[in-house]
Amino acid sequence: MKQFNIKRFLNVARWDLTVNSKFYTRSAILMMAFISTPIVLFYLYNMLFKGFLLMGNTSDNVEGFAKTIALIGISYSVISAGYMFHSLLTKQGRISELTLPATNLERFLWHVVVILIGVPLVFFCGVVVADFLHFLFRLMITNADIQSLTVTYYWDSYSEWSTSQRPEVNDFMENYGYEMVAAFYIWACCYTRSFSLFNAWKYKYNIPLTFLFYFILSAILPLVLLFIGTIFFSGENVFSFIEWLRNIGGHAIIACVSIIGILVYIGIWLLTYRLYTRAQLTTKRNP
Amino acid sequence: MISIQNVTFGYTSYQLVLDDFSLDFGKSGVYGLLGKNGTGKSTLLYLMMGLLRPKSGNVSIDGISASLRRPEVLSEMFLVPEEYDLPRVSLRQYVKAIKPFYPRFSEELLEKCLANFEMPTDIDLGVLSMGQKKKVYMCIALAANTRYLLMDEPTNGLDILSKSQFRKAVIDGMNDEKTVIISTHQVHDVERLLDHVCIIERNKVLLNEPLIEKDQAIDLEELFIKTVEQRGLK
Repeated sequence: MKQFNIKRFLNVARWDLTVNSKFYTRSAILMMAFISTPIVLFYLYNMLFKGFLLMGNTSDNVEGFAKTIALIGISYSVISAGYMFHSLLTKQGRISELTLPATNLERFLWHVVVILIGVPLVFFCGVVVADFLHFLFRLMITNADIQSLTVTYYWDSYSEWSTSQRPEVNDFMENYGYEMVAAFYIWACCYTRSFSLFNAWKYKYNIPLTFLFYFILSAILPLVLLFIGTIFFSGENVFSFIEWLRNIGGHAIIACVSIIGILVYIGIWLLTYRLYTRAQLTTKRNP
Repeated sequence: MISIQNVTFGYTSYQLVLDDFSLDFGKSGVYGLLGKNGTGKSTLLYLMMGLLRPKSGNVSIDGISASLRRPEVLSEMFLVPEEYDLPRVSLRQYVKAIKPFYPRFSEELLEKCLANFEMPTDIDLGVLSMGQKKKVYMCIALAANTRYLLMDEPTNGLDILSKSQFRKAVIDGMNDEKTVIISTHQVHDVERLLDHVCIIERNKVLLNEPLIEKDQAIDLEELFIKTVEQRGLK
C-alpha cells in the first residue's frame, strides 16, 4: 500500500482546514492581538497621559517592542507545539481524525506542515500587523522618523555585532559564534518539539506536564552528572579530563553537541510519529 | 466481511469488556447488536473501526486488520457514534471536505435523506440542536455509501417522528452490498428494520440469527429477555 498520496494528503489538508477552521481562525486572531497589544497599550498610554512630543524617536522604543514580540514568538512556538494534535483532544475529534480514510503518515505530515509552516506564517503576519499599527501611531505623531519595528531592531542588532569594538566579543564570534548559535538553535528546536512529543503522548494537560518534566530534569540532571563525575573522575582524572577536552578543542565539542542535538531532534520526531500512529479512542492516559 | 476472532479487550488490565470473543458479519443486511449495559457493544464498533486495538485476537475487515486503519478499508466504513458534534461550518462546506474520501458518496442520496428528515440542505451545522446534528450526520453516513455502516444508539435523542424517518432513511439508503450494524438499547425503534439479530455477552454470542419472519411483527424485547433468561444471565 502506498503510504503517501499527494491527492489524499491535500484532501486531509482541506478536511482539517474545514473542520477546524474556527480553531485556526481564533488562534491566528489571538496571536495577532497578543503581538499588537504591547504596541497599542504603549501608544495609548503615551497619548493619554504623556502627550505625543515626549515620546522621542522610533529607535527609543523599538528595542523594547522587538524584545516583547520575540518573547511572544517563543511562547507562541512552544504553546502551538503543545497543541500540534489539538484535534485529538476530544473523543469526537479522535473519532473524526482516526477514521478519516488516509494513512497515518498523511495525517501526521499535515500536522507537521501546520506546525512548521502555518505557525511561523501566522507569527510573521502578526509581526506585520504590529508593524503596521506602529506605523499608524507614528504617523499620527509625526510623518518623519517612521521605521519598521522589526527591520530596525534586526539592523541595529546586526550593526552592533558587526561593529563591536570589544575584542573579546569579536574573537569569540570569529572563533565559535556561528557554531554556538547553530548548536543553540538545534537544542531550542528540540525543546520546542518536545512539547509536540508530550502532546502525542497525552492530549490534555500536556503543556504543564512538559514544563514539569523539564523542572524535574533540571533538578535531577546536575545530580546525575555529579554522580557520574564522582565515579569516573577523581583526583588527577579531573585534570586529565579537562586536558582532554582542551585537546579536542572548542570546535569539536560544539560540533558534538550539535550532532547530539540533531539526533535528539530526529528521535523526538520519530517518537512523536510512533505515538501518533498508535493513538486510540480511549486509553488510560487519554480517557 | 467483518470478522472478529478471539478478541480480548479491556479499558483497564484488570477489567475485561470482551474476553475471547468471536463474531462474524458475513452477509449484507441490517444487523442489530443487542446486549445488556457494559457488554461491549460500542467497544465492538470501535474495534471494527480500528479506533481501539484488541489485547489479543484479531478484527479484520475483508481480510485486512482493522487496527492498521488502512485508507482503502476506512473508505468503505462509516461510524455514527452515539454523540457527535459537527463543526461550525455549512453543510455544503462539510460535504465538500469529506466527499473525496468516499468514492461512492452520493449527494442525491444526501438530499433525499435530508428531505426524509424534513431538513433543508443549506444549513449551518454549528447552529443545529443535538437531534438535528444526529439526523444530518446519519444522512451524511448513508450518503457516503460505504459497504459497512456502523451506528451506535442511532435513535437516542430522536423524537417519535424522527425515529420513523430514521427507519425510512436506512431502508432508502440500503442496497445488496451494504452491511449496517446498529448497536442499540431501543429495540422497538429498530425491530422492523433488522435482517439479523446478535445478542452479545462479554465472552460469547447468545444469539446470532436472521429474522426470517420480517413481515410479521417481531417483539425484539421479548426475544432479548427470553434469550438472556434461557442462558441464565438475567
